[in-house]
Amino acid sequence: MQIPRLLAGIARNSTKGKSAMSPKTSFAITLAAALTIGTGALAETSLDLKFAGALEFADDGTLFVGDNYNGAIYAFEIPGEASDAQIMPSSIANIDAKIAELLGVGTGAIQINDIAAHPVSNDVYISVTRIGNLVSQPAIVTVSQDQSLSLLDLSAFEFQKQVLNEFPDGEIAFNGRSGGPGPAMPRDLAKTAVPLNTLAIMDMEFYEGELFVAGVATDNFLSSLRRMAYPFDGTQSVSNVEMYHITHDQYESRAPIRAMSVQEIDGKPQLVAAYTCSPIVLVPLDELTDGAKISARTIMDYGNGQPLDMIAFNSASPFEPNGEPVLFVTSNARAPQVIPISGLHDADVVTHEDFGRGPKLDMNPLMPFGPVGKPVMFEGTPLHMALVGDGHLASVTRDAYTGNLNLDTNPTWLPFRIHNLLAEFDFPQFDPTAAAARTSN
Amino acid sequence: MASGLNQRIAKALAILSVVAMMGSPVDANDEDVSLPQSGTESVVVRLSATMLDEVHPSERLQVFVGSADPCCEGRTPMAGSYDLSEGTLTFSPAFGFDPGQDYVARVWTSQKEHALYAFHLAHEVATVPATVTETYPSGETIPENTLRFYIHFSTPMRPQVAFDYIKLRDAFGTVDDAAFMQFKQELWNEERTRLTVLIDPGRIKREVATNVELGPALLAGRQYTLSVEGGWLSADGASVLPPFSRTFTVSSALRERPDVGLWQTALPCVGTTDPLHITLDRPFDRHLLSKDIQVVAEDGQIIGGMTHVGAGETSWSFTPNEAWTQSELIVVASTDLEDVAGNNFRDLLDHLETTEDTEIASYAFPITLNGCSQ
Repeated sequence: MQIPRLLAGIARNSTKGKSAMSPKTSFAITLAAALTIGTGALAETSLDLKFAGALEFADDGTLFVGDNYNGAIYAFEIPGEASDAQIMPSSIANIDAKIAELLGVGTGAIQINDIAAHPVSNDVYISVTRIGNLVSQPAIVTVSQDQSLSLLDLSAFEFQKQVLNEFPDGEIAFNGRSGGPGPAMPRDLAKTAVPLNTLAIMDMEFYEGELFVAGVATDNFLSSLRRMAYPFDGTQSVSNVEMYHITHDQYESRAPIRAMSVQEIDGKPQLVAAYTCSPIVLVPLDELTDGAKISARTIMDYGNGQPLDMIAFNSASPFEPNGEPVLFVTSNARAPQVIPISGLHDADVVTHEDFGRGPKLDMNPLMPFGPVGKPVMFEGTPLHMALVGDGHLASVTRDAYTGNLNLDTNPTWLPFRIHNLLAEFDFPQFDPTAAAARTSN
Repeated sequence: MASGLNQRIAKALAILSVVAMMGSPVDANDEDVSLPQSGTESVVVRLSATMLDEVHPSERLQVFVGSADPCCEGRTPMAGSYDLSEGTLTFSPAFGFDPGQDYVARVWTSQKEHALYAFHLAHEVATVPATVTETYPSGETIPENTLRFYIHFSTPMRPQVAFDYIKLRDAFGTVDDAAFMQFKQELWNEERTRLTVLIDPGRIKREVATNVELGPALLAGRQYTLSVEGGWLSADGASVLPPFSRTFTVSSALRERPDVGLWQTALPCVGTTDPLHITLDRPFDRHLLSKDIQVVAEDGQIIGGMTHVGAGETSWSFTPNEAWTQSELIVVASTDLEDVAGNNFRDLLDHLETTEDTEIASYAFPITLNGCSQ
């Protein structure tokens, strides 16, 4: 899950604009009514969410929200209503403009941080930063299957909050560098305004009652994996992760995991984790203990670029009915990579001793390395993606030509629209019968 | 809540307009609709009971961010809460209303007809109305080869449009479009309240093309007007500059370097904090004059104090922070100090090819303060 940089320098104010609620009848434009559920040990009474970043749903509809400003994870009990309606392909143009209108600001004044689909209702949840006059506020917008937008009233839900240990403050920021030949340009140096806590909650995975969180922490190694039980009981573990990075040809302990997924590999649950540029490592869950320094097992590198999301589904399609479980890994700099999970079993683990020295670009004969699967077509850039049901993907896609940001829902085997494509089939003169006859003998 | 007076002022400041659609015009001051005056207030609508039967209040009232023209096809209404009590429907947005943002409320007055109310909240920061506060050179007469004008404003002005408004007119009111130097970059000070306007040096310098073709922008003996036409918006967009003009007469060109030998001093007494006053030999650049002359002790130490530039920039005075203690002092001007025509102690702006280079003209002179009886 890609979290765009936080807005450095903008005053942080947690409270939403609150008007006095009259004691008389009150209607709220929200998706769900208020609920009362048995509260966990750490139930809070007043919500102090400052930033809505990474999102993750548990199967019962519990929504985990990463707050990079407070350095905490919030868990909201959102049961959701099951719907009989089938998930259909849909496309909402200019989702950023629509969210901005909903939140009462101009189009450029919102930032989309993450999306996730509710496992029961199939509504798409979008975490957003609303930028008002000198103040930024968090918001979660829901998009229902009939494509209507609503602002989620978070105060209507029971919630728990888990403050994260070893959380980086907002002071230390990154360096800027040129990357290629020549000096760094102002655009490159913009990184110097990005604080490290932007990467503190990169991705979350809920697995068998526990929440796993990847991101930058201030422990020995900055790259870390956290583990905590839910309902939150106050205990959490932080493990440091170091890995051999194939294309960078070095051991890295700072740059965090960008996207991950828990999969059963070689007989035990392991985190499959993707890093920038883009090696993929395995970390068995049983190694994630508090204070552990883990050497992650590097098994592949599918190419330069920065991973965004990693989503697991079955690759079956109308054209290839014999599908298999795959990981669909999106990138801000490459086509999505479809990685068969079967290739991760019994994979060779590599270290620096398996390679010659020096950084490796994509054209290096050794690249891509390992059981990488294949890159696949995607029209536009899938900035945020989430699985909806079993067979659909919702994507916040940057259109290749217009640059508009659209929210599309499409089947997993073709998770984009082809409106920019003009092929043989689009010609009015095309005759499918004649075409088939030609190749049928 | 604000006092009654503040409410009236706030109401006057809030821009309010009404567009009636498909039905009878609705009066902005209609008691049926009350629009917010501040970010924490709500939109309040009185509707008949029949209007609210069997319908969610959000179908009777929507508020949109943005302009009312056009509205509201394809627009997403703002999220918020609706309160309903005894025929009064109140909408409170989830994040309040932001000053500076345009909004429009759509109220359904019947099943098919609706009225639009555009509103806009005033900024909380007091706006300084835009005016021209000063221009330099400020004398009634300025030389033909004046190089620079300074225009001071009460508040930062909208950039990139200065020369749409700033004009040099002759005695008949005709604008000279080629008078001012226009760069891609306007020459503002750091606070963006002082604009430097240059006469095109090509018009000033003798025997340079535009001077030959068009002649000087200012001709000795004539009257001209520096005018700033009305309509220029302040940078915060909250006020409009009223028109301004200053008429002056033009004297002959300044084509000698400044001569401190012609400066006349009025000396203060030792032991006082009375000012040192100098009558200059010509008008000098206002900005440079405020910083480019210093009083120095014989050991080189600069005397601290405040300078004051006199009317027409033809005089200068200096008041020390502490009483004068030494009697032997030196007045030192920077060699970069320019008169209004851009001449400094080193050279003329308009150095004719045929003249010989000379040494730097004298730019400092000694003064002797006397003790005075009280």
